[in-house]
Amino acid sequence: LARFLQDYTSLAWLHQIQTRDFTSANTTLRQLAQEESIYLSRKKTLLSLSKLCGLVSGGGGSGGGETSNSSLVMEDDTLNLEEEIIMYQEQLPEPVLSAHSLDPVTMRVLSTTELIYMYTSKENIYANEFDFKKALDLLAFVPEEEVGALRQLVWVRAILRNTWEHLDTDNPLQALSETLLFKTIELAFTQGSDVQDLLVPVEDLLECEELSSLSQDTNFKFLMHAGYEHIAKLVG
Amino acid sequence: VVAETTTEDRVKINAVDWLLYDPQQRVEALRQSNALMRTFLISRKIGATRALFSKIPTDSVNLIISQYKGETGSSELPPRAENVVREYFCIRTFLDAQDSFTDWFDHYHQKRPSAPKKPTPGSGFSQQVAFEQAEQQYKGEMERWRHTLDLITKTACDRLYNVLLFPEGGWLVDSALEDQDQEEPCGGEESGEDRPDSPEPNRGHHLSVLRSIYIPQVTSLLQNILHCTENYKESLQLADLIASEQHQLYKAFGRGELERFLMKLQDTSRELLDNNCDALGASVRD
Repeated sequence: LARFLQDYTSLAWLHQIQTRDFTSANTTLRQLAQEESIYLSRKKTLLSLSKLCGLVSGGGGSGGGETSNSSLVMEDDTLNLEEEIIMYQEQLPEPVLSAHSLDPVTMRVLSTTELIYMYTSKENIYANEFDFKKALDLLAFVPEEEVGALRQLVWVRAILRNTWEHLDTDNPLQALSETLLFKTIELAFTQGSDVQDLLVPVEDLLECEELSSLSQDTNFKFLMHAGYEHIAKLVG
Repeated sequence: VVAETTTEDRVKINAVDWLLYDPQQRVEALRQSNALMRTFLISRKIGATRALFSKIPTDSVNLIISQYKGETGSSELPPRAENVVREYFCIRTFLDAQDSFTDWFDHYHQKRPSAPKKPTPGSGFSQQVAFEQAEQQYKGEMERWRHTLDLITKTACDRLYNVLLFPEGGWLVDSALEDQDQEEPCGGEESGEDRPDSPEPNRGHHLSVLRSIYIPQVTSLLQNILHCTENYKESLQLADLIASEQHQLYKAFGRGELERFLMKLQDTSRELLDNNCDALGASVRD
């Protein structure tokens, strides 16, 4: 019976569209999209359909709603957020996909936490500041209690992408501008993010276990402090 | 619904010849032709549009680019000329898509071989043999028909997608920013007569009207092809394309058109269910 009922909800929207009950169809499809965990593509299509039904049913319905050229208004922001998360998954670089043997056509729905791990992982061989920025952007969709740890993870992994021993300490800013860490910060800054909010305090980073060997290095410490000071000046 | 070309239209079309005479005026010629084609398209005069389009020499864009290159040394066109060229390509993409759809429609509906009539039971041996032969022949024709159909379907879909997915902003969306345009007059550039002069007042309006007519139309043609050729899953995924924020195609739809679109998707989905798939085309795992 459960199977039957489940099938029923998964089909109710067809009937709702047919009977022009676009408001209900919107809700049903939305719910189905949220429950979908098997196929990303299916989740996406459910969401798209829901959005289109929402457009037909909602907004701009004042009086002459029949004028076909009045542009329909999108009032639902959370829907666009979901769409955005899907986009982040669709944009996963090829090496990451193959490392996890994910097929872009049939891949399952990944959680935002998984996505953050993947974008910053070693498997993402050609990762650049844009990948790390995506990981930071994804923090917005992660359950609140996980945000702190994940944010730290992103920065730590960004630091570990570079070797720090040979950087020129006489020209700290010049040297830093080559590192993925500061490229990412710069990108976030130019894109208008609140950098202070995104950053993890330098002390916390230096105390981090993964960076323990680097933190022994005085050059590294010096560069990090110099960099943070520079950012504080820029932002302040 | 396609409107006929009138005598008056022909006069207008032929007038473009004068502009095409001097290669130095090619940007202007293209700009005027675009404007004329826009008004044709708005009144759904596809024939007139095509007649005018075929007058424009195919090397025009190269000619324009090399003229600018000769003058400024860079192969980058100034924003307004850039948009003239872009619009020309948009119209070409659209006409190509229309042509391919007509080809497809013709082939699918008119050229399908008809099956031979079965002989009435109890008919003679010779009739039986004749039927078997006819059936053999029919099978062969059917196979050829199907093969051609696959090819034509592919081309038609590609070209229709080209309209929907027109790069850098979309079909008939100007690429240069408005404020760039406004800065131009005070720049005091005296580059002379070949620069397309005053901004066209109705242009923005025309473009958005055209988008709202033809984007739903192209979508529905594509939907027809995909549905008829049993590409149900792909047909459903049109929803993704239309709903996406990246392309913002849903904005070109009115409520009625969107309703029709959803109705059709719903039909497609039912076909999938009949074919032992779930409503979105994944095969049912039992």
